[in-house]
Amino acid sequence: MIGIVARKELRGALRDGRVLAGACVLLLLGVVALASAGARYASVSRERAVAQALIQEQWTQQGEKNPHSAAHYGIYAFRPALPLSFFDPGVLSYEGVSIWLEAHKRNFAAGRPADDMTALARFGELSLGFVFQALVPLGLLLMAYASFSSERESGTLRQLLASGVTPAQLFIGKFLGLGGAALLLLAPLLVLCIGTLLFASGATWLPAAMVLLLAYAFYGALVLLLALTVSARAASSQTALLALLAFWAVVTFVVPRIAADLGRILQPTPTAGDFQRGVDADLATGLGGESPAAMVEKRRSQLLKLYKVEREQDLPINFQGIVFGIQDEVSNAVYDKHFGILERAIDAQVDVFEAATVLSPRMALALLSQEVAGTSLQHQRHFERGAEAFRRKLMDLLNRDIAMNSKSGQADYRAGPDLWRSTGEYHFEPEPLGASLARSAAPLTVLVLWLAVLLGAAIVTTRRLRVLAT
Amino acid sequence: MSLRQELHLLRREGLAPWALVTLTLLLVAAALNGRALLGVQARTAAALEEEVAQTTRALADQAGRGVATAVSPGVVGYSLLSEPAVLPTTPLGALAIGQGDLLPAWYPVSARGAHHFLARSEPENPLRLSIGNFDAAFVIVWLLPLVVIALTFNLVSAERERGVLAVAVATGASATDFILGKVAARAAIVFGSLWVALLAAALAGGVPLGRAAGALPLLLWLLGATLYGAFWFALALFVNSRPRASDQNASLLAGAWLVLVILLPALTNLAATTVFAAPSRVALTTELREASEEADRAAAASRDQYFFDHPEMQGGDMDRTAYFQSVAQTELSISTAMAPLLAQFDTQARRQQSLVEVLQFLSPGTTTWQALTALAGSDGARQREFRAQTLAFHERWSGFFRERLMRGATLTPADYAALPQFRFDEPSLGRTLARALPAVAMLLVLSLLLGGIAIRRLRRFPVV
Repeated sequence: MIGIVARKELRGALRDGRVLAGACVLLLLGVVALASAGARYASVSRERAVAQALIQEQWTQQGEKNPHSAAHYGIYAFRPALPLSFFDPGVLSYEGVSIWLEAHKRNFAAGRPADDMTALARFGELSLGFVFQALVPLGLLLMAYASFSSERESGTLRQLLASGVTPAQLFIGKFLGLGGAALLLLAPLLVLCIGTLLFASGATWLPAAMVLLLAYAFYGALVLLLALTVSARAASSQTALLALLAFWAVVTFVVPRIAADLGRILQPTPTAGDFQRGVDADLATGLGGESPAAMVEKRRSQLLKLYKVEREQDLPINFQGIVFGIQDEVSNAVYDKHFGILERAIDAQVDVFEAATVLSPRMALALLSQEVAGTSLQHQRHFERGAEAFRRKLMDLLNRDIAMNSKSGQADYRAGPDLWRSTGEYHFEPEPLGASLARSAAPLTVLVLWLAVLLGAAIVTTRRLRVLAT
Repeated sequence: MSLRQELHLLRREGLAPWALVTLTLLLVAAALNGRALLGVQARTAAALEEEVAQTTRALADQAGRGVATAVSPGVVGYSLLSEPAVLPTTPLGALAIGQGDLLPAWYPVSARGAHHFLARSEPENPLRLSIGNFDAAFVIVWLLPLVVIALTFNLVSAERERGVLAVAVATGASATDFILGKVAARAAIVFGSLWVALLAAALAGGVPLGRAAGALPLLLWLLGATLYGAFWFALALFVNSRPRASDQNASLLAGAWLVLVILLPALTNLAATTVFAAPSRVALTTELREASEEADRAAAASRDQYFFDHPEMQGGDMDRTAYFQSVAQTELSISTAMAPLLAQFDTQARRQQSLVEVLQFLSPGTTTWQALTALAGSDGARQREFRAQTLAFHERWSGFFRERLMRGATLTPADYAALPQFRFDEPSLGRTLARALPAVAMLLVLSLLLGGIAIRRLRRFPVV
C-alpha cells in the first residue's frame, strides 16, 4: 500500500509544472554556483601551488647571507584550495590565505578574499552549499505543504482512508514519493557535482563527498518530515504554508545572524590593538617571572661554566645563536598565550552558535558541512598551526646554524644555498575525515535530536489525523 | 467597508500590537547590537589616539633635551612613531553595520611603505563574518517584506474564498474600494509600527536626532524603509489582483522575496566579482617579495659604495642617518614598484562598484540595502574614500620625515608640533543624502506601477 501511495505522489510531483519549473530554477542556480566555484577553485589552486614553489625558489636562491638575515627574510605558507571548497566555501572568504613566517613573530594569515568583494557579499554568497542548505529545503516545503491539507480540503483524504490505507502508510508513502521525486529532480546536479570532484581530485575526497551527500539527504528528510507533519496537522493549506515559510526564513536567516552576533556580544574578540599591546608587554617582561635578559644571562654563565672559559668570545660556539634561540622561546610562549586568548574567545562565540543549532537545524547542517568539506574555522586553524610549527622548526635550524658554525662576535658569518636547501619545504597536509567528524559531534547530535522530535510529532499527528476540514 | 472598520477588525485580531511589538523588538535589538560594535570601534580609536599623543609628547620632550633617537627623523619616522588614520563612526552607524566589521576602521600610518599597513585587519571570528550582521538594515531589507507578505498574501483571495467579496459587492460597495481599504488599514498598521520602531531603534542606536547630520539621513532612512515596505504592499496587491488561491499567492510572494532579497543580490555580487575580478593577493605577496629583495640588494650595494666613498662617516650619528637614508630609499623603491599593483585593487573595486550601481536596479532589495548602508556610511564607497585619503595622508607623513632625513636635519619640538594630522574629510551631507535617491526613485516608481496595474486589474476582478 505504501508503494502505491509513494508512486502516486512521485508521479504527481513529476507531472506538476510548478515543481518542474522550481527544479529547473534550482538546477540553473546550482550550475551557476558550480561553474563559478569550479573555475575559482581551478585558478586558485594553480596559483597557490605556483606561488608556493616560487617562494621556495626565492628562499633557496637568496644568495649568501647571515642565517639571521634569512630568518627575517622568512618564507610564506599558502593555504592550498581543497577540492570540496567548490561545494561549500564555508568560512574561506573570511580567512587569510597566506602567512609570513619570519623571525621572532607569529603573523596572522593575510589576504582575505572577502576584502576584495563588493559589500553585497554580506548578503551571503551563492554557493552549492547555500543552494542545498537553503533553497532545496524551500523547494521541499513548497512541494509538501499541501499534501495532507489539500486532500483534507478536497475530501479525498476521507476516501483514501475509507479505502483501507492507514494514516501511517499514507504518511510514509507520501514521504517516500516526494523524497524520491526530489532526489530524481536533483540527480543531474548531484551527478555533476560528483563528476566535477572526481575530475578535480580523483577519488581522494570521495568518502567526504559521500558523508556530505548523506548529511544533506538527512537534512532533506528532516525538512520533508516537518512539512508533512505540519500539513497533516494544520487547519488549512494556507496555515501550513505560512507556518513552514516562517520556520524556513527564521532557521535559515534570522537565528544564525542573531546567534553569531550574540556570541560576539557575550565574548568579544580582542582588538588588534589589545592583542599587540598584550604581546609587546609580555615580550618585554617574559612569561613565568623571568625576564628575557635574565634568561640570557643565566644561559651565558651556564655555558661559560660548562666550557670552563671566562669570556663569551672563547666559547666554541656563537653565543648570539643561543640568544636568538632564547628570544624565540620567549616569543613562542607569548604568541601561544595571546593566540590562545583569541582562539578561546572565538571558540566561546562558536559555542553560542552551536547552542543555537538546537533552534535551527540548518545551522547544525552548515557546521557539519564546513567541517567535512575542509572549509571550517578549525581547518583554517589546522593550516595556521602547521605553518607555525614549520616556522619554529625553521628558526630553530637557523639559530642552531649560527651557534654551531660561527664564533661569538663573528658578524660577517654567511651561510649559503646548502643551508637554505636543508630547511625543507612547507607542505600542507589536510586533516583526515575522521578528525572532522569527531569535531562534528555537537551538530550531529542536534540533527539526530531534531529527527527524534520530528518522528515523535509525525507519529502523534498520524495517530490523531483529522479527516475532515474545519 | 471603511478604513476605520477594517482597522477595528484588525485591532480585534490583535494585529496592530503584534506588528508593533515584533518590529520594535527586532529593530531595537538590532540597533543595540550595532551600537555595541560601534562602541568598540570608538573606544579603540580613542585609545589609539591617546597612545600616539602620549608617545608624541614624550618624543617632543626628549627632542627638546637632545636625546639622539628622538631627534633622528629616521628612527622616529621609520621605527618609533606611527599615526593612526581613523575612520570616524557616523551618526547612523549603529543602524547598518555593512562593511564596518570587515574592513579596517583605522590604519597605522608610518613613514614606511603603505603596503605595511594597507593589508591590516582586526582579529575576527570568520564564522560570524561569513553569516552577516543582525542590524536594522537587515531587519528592514529581509524581514519587513516577510511581515508585509504575512499580512497581505490573502488580502483578496481569502475574502473571495469565504464569499465576503461577493456579499460586499452585492451590498453596493465597490470591490476595489473594499480591497484598497483593507490594504490601507494594513499599511497604516505596518508603517505606524515601523516608524515608532525605527525611532526607538534610532534612540537605542544613539542617533543624534538633534543634529542635521543625524536627523536628515534618518528621515531618508525612514522614507527608504517606508517606500520599500510600500513596494511589497504593491507587489502583494499585484499578486492578489489575479484570481488565485491564497496558498498560491503565498508561494508566489515567498518566491519573489527569495529572488529579490536573496538571489539577485548574491548574483549581482557574483557578476561584479567575476567580471571585474580583483587581482590576486597571492601574486601580490610574491611580487612584494621580489620588489623587497631587489630594493634590499640595491640598497646594500649603495650602502657599501657610500661607506667606501666616505669611510670617515662610519659610526656615530652619521652612521644612523646614513642607515635610515638607505632604509628610506629602500622603502621608496618598494613603494614605487608596488604602487601600480596596489592601484589595480582600487581600480577593480571601483569597477565592481560601478557595475553594482547599475545591476542594483534589478532588485529593490539591493537598492534599498545600498541606500541604507550609504546613509549610515558603512558601504564600500566610504571605505574606499577612507583608504584613498589615508594614502594621501601617508604621502604627507612619510614626506615629512623623508625630507628631513635626506637633508640631514634633526627633529625639534617645533617639528613635533608641526606633524601632519589625519582628519577624515567626510563627504558632504548633501552627497550622502543624494546616494539614497536612486533607491527612493526606483521604489516609488515600482510601487506606483505595480499598485496602478493591480488596481486596474481589480476593477475587472471576478468577485466569486
